[in-house]
Amino acid sequence: MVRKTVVKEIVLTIGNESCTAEMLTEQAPTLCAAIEQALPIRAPATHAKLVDREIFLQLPFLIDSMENEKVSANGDIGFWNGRQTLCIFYDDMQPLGAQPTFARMTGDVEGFRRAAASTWEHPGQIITIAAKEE
Amino acid sequence: MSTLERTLTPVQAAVEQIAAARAAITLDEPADIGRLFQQRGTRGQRATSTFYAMMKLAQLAVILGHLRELALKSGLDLATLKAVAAEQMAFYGRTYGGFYHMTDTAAIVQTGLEALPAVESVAEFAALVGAVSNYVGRIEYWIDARVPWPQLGAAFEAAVQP
Repeated sequence: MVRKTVVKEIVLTIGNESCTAEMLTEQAPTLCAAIEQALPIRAPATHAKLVDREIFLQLPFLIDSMENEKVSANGDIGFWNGRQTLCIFYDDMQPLGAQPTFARMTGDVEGFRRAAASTWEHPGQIITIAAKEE
Repeated sequence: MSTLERTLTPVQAAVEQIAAARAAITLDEPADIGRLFQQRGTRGQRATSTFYAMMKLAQLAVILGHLRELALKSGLDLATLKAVAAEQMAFYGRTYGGFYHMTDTAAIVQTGLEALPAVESVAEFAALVGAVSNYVGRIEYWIDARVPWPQLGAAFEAAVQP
């Protein structure tokens, strides 16, 4: 039985730049519940090497769910169980394929995009993901 | 010894030990990274030793991930899965602790390897190989953070120009 989710939005922060993402609780209830349980998440961000505008962070657990599997688009946030990575597609990119997707970036994302892009030149920056306070 | 420790099975104890070690390196770079960067490859450079270490860490992480998936979805017999996992963990664990001097990572893999014979269920197998996969994967990402990717990409492009 999937635990009922409470968090509707999360805030992603790198340095002084933040953006909001909507949790896709209807499409991916299991994924959302697993992520919600792990909040707040704090880990070094790694920049993707192939798809271009993607950063990811490894989580210390696996989520065996293929909910809402879709070819990733700009703004999608997914989870790849193969390497236990939470993947943030922060701008236009070339996705490698479909991935379970649990959230979508919303609102003004420009500052966060710049910060995410900077992890290519300055790897290991800490990303924080927290529940958005009402 | 706490009540909790007394009630853990050998597999649970190994999984908890590996998970605790993994938690300790979430934000703090492990000592293995420094040891790896002391090592040099052919002609005294560190690029090849670094990239080969990354490759071998990613290989075990992915292999164990696939074995975990097979265990959960295919119905393959547990003895076969354990034998394959043991072979892989033994090989890669020796590799990490040998040339690459990543002795802590080798010890973590060894912890998983030593717990494998006690595995009695698919759930235990999944938990154990999942924990090892996650740990070695984290080590790979720590190495990744030390690689000057933009400069490397530019140098490579310049070097392979026809």
